[in-house]
Amino acid sequence: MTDSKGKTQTHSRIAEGLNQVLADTYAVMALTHHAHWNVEGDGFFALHAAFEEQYTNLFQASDEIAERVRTLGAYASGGLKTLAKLADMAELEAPVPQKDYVAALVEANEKVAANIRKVKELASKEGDTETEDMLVARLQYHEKTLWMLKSYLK
Amino acid sequence: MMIWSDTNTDPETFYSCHCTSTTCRERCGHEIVDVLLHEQADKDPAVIDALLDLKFALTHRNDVEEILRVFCQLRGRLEKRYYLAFYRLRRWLENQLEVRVSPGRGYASQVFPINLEARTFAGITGSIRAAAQESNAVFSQSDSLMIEFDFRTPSAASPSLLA
Repeated sequence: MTDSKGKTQTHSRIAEGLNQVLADTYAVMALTHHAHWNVEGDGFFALHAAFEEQYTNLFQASDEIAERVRTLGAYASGGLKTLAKLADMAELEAPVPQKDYVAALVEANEKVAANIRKVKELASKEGDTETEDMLVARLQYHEKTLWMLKSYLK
Repeated sequence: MMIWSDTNTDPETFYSCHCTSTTCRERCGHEIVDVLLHEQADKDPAVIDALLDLKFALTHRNDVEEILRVFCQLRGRLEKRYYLAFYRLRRWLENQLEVRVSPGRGYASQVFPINLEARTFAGITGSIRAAAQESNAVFSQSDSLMIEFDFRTPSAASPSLLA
């Protein structure tokens, strides 16, 4: 992009995608926190601790993603209602079997990862290496989380 | 979204589903059954038969009781190995199906969502009966509630921002 108008439009599309990733990330954080509180049974200690690590990472990531949106000149989405509507994640009503929490988090993390891939591609195509770099790291995190969660279900 | 890979034969990783109640894809459950069939190709013929029965019933959509009975049978046989696949199938069926409850033939019916936490068909109908009786005084006085399963009427799915 050479002209400022074109650059603004590109940034706007990337920021829109980042706001989707922000909403997804916030929603997964809330789902993971919910699982952390309510999981029970044989694997309680391992899952309770793993979920805490995960929601802590997701909380920090939300801040990083929102600040990238602001850096691109747009405003970050916020508010539980707005983020939940944007993310449109399936929610669980406790109590559910231990493995259902893990399976639900697999689906939620897959959804975030799929949207991150789309925004990463857009950022790559538009030469926004800073956004792309941040999203590569986020994708690595979600892929690793998916491996761990799926391993638990086997 | 179905993600196929020639090199990855693990059924827990080579498909994924992002259904919610508003964006549940009609084909998703069929695809999961296809993956399970692919996985069972050289295994127990009785399981393959049951998977084919489920595929047939899902395709024809005219006997939801049969779908639920075969699903419960397969869940009992395969869930330990394919927990995620059966979790996805459960969520998909809950999104796709509904149940109408009435005190008897000729009476007005009420629609309830289906919860597939119970592992048998009797358990599923039992939980529906309990939910109906808890929610409606007319139902609570009836000993023989009529329970009819059906597919939900398709509703317009919400378009995704990044679709």
